[in-house]
Amino acid sequence: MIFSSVFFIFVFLPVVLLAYFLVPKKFKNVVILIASLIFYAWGEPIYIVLMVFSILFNYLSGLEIDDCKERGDVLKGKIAFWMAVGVNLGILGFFKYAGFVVENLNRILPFDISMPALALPIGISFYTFQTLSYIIDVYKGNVKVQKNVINFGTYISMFPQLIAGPIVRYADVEGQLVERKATLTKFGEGTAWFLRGLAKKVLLANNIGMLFDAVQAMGAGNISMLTAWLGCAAYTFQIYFDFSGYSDMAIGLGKMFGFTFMKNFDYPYTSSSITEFWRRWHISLGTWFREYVYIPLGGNRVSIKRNILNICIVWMLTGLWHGAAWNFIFWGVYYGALLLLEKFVLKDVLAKTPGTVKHIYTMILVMIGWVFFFSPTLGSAFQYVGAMFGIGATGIIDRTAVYYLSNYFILFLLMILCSVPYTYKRFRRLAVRGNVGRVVMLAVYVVLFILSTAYLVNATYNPFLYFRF
Amino acid sequence: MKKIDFKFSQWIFYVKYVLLVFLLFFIVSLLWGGKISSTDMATVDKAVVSSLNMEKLSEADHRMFKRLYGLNANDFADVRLYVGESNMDVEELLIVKLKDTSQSESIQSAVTARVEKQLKSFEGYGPEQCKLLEDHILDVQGNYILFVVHGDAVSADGAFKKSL
Repeated sequence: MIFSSVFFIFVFLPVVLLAYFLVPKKFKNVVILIASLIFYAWGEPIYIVLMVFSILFNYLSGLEIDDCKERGDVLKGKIAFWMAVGVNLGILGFFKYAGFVVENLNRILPFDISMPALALPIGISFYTFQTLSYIIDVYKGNVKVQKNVINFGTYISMFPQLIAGPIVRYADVEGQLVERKATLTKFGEGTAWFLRGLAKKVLLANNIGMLFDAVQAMGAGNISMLTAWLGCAAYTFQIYFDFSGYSDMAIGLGKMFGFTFMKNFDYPYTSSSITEFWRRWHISLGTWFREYVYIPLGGNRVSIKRNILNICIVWMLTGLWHGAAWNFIFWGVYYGALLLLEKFVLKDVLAKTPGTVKHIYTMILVMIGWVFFFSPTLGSAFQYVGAMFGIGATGIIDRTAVYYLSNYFILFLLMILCSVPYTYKRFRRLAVRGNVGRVVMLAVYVVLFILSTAYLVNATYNPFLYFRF
Repeated sequence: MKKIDFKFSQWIFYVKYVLLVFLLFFIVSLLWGGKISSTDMATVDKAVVSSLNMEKLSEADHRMFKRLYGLNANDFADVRLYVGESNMDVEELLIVKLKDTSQSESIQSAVTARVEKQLKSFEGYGPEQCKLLEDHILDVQGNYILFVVHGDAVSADGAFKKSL
């Protein structure tokens, strides 16, 4: 089930909200847990088994680690901890990476290993990282063990952010799982977040996605330079509005149920460096890697050589987290290299460079990065990048490019406006301009909702891009 | 907060192992029951095509697939599409090899939308076409999907299943 579907908006969500607000406080998490399991089972019912296993196994592991600590049995605690980490990573590795490993082994081995292509359990990368955050923090003593299996199950499976994040660390919602307030104001804020996210996904991402699909279907060898840049720009906006739209909806749904999740995006396309871009893009993933990989490896409080190695490890893992393919690994390494370059070589140069130039530099590199992200193979990615710079392109500009540019010009303008904080800040100011301002704001949200619904009724199945991670 | 007694902690240990055995069993059953075919597309395509009278059908490219189904061929492991040569021919043959079975839903939705659209187009004046469309076969077999609108759709489906 996806948030941007008529069934979710008009049936599932109202029923769950009604049940949530009707039941007494002690049953509220039960409602969320049951709803989450139904939500998860909707698309791939078989993998609900994996989800239930994950909840029970990690719940028991947490109890065991805590018990060993209380009894002073360090060795058993360590074994329980590493076993939990191993099982979680093992499941992720098996379902996400086994096919990729076997495929590459088959290329070098004289015989073929047979491996069925199993479907990737939706959201596995996200909920595995959440369970790991819990296990690591319990082991380190950063959080108290969760003794209520319903509360723990609610944390792992919470449907608002189950499928594509934000990756909520246990430490951030520990208190909220027991005590939270779902006020009318918070519910209203949540609805606004949800509607903004819905509009981002349905009105912006899905529409610009059509341009990207059209360019991609032509093949990198049959397009002009301008078409290649247009296709890449289309994907650049599509992935931002698609993913940040999902995150906004998740944050909004969380608020409706009284939760507060961290924001996952902070206008990343306004960045003036790659370093800044990664502070603003998929913030919860960056935070996770910083807390549970980079800092434990020593972070930057080590020698320069070791620091470089730490950054390389983190970015290779970031690439690998996104997908089991060489182009994702390359994408991660590409960003690792750029960040190292900015940290050790370009730091002073960038400090003296005018803001506009820095912004253009960042966006060009980000756009090239997306080519490695959207291409099915590393070879096709290089072919596409080549076309963007005239290598193998049919020319600099052609009729197709002019046609697409004129057709999508307004949408591009609208997306640029929605990618900068200025537009939303201006919109927010309406709230302080008395009743008229508030009525205008409300009208905008109603119009966004009607337009989004109209699109949804006529649209085919259009899942979020990050569902495949 | 009440401290867990030692016996209970031993229980935790054993229940964890029972869960692990259960997980192993689940994974093995997935591997055995996944109905995933390693047959290549060329073999499946040849078997299905040879079971049909292809007079009215011609092979279409990825752009046509995009136009008719709204999906990108590159997102799937392999796609073969044959469409009617004239606008009045509703015969169609689509074989898709999925990268993984989670892609099945998107193909099925796109096919359903395609059939509905075609039915609307021929409603009222093309009873033969409507009959063919209503008798279409959409067969999902693990990582392969067949969609066929043809007088011999049943034969094509038989050949499809046999080839996997």
